[in-house]
Amino acid sequence: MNCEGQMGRRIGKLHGDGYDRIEKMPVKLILRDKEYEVKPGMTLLSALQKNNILPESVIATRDGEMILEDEILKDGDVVKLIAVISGGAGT
Amino acid sequence: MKCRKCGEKASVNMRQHKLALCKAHYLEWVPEQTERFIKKYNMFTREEKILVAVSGGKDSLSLWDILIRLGYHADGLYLGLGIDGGINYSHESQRLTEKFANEHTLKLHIVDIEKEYGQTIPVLSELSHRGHGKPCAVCGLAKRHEMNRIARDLGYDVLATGHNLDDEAAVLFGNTLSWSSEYLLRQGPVLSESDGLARKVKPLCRFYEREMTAYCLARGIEYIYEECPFAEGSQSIYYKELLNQLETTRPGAKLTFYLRFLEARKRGDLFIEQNMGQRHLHPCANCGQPTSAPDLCSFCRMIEKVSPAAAAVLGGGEDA
Repeated sequence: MNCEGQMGRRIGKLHGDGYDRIEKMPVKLILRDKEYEVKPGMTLLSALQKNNILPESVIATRDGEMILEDEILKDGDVVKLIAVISGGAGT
Repeated sequence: MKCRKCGEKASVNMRQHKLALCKAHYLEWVPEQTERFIKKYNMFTREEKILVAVSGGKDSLSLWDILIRLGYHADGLYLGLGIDGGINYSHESQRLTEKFANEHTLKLHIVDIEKEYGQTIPVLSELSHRGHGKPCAVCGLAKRHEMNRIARDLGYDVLATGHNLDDEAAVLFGNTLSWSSEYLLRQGPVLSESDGLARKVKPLCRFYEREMTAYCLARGIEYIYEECPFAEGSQSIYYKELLNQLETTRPGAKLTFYLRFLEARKRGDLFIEQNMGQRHLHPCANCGQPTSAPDLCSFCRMIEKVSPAAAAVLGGGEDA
């Protein structure tokens, strides 16, 4: 049995107890060449804090649209974090 | 979070202003605020010709975009620094700058440092032994010198740079840590025109760096995302990170730090005001630009050291 539910993606065959297991897809955060995974259901702010990423130093996008810190991250979300700090010689 | 203006889902939240906006209203708000800062600090008028220093980065391309949207006469200046760093950095930033200029049918001046002075910035840095093994000091010096020279040579009324509040707060933080009074004295949204020096303005100086990134994303401006290969570990980035830690727990701390400094300076509350008269500038014996050094300015000293022939061209070609 392979089908998708709202809260998770059902994978694999029915187990002996008659229920198939529901596994939630992690949320993926991508910042430059690093990837972080968090559980769905938490806010973006919590996800950033959990991975020691300063919220002030990034902008988060999902499917190309900016999302804010109170956004609840959903099953299988891929969030691209755009670093905002640049520097070097002052002019 | 909802947009304060229309109640739709917000795309940008500015905690320091307690203001969240949707994409459409954010794209209206940024130029409105820029116009307000231009007027507040008497940066320039609609009749004046503006030269925008454009690097291909988010801030300078945003600035150029905003000024054009506001109806100002703004041309671009791109300086080719010859930085590769394994990622074709200068080449890519020039490509993106040219792309932006072409898409908006804007005038862009391109000056290649290697063609002008015989060496790229990294090589100039190596040969001149400046900057403790990193080219950032030479890069800053060359950019300041060339931007001023070109603005004046081409008859622009004002030179505009894309410095944002994080840039300004980081510089202020560094200069305060060392109590560099002369540098503190010079810092501000406008550096007035004087003998040999073009007026320099920073219309984005009250926007957070984060807001400029959001502006580029919302406007669909393609900018160079890769950091300059030499910027890694730089002091300015370190200070910005420290200030962002402060900002995270105290929203508005960066803005207050900068604005209170400007207010104190304006009121004459800073001790540095007493030193104003001590600053003495005179024309460089080679290029004629103002300098506090006794003979040649820092830039001409560097060029003379690494490439005497180029220095002679610089001196002779100043009036061209």
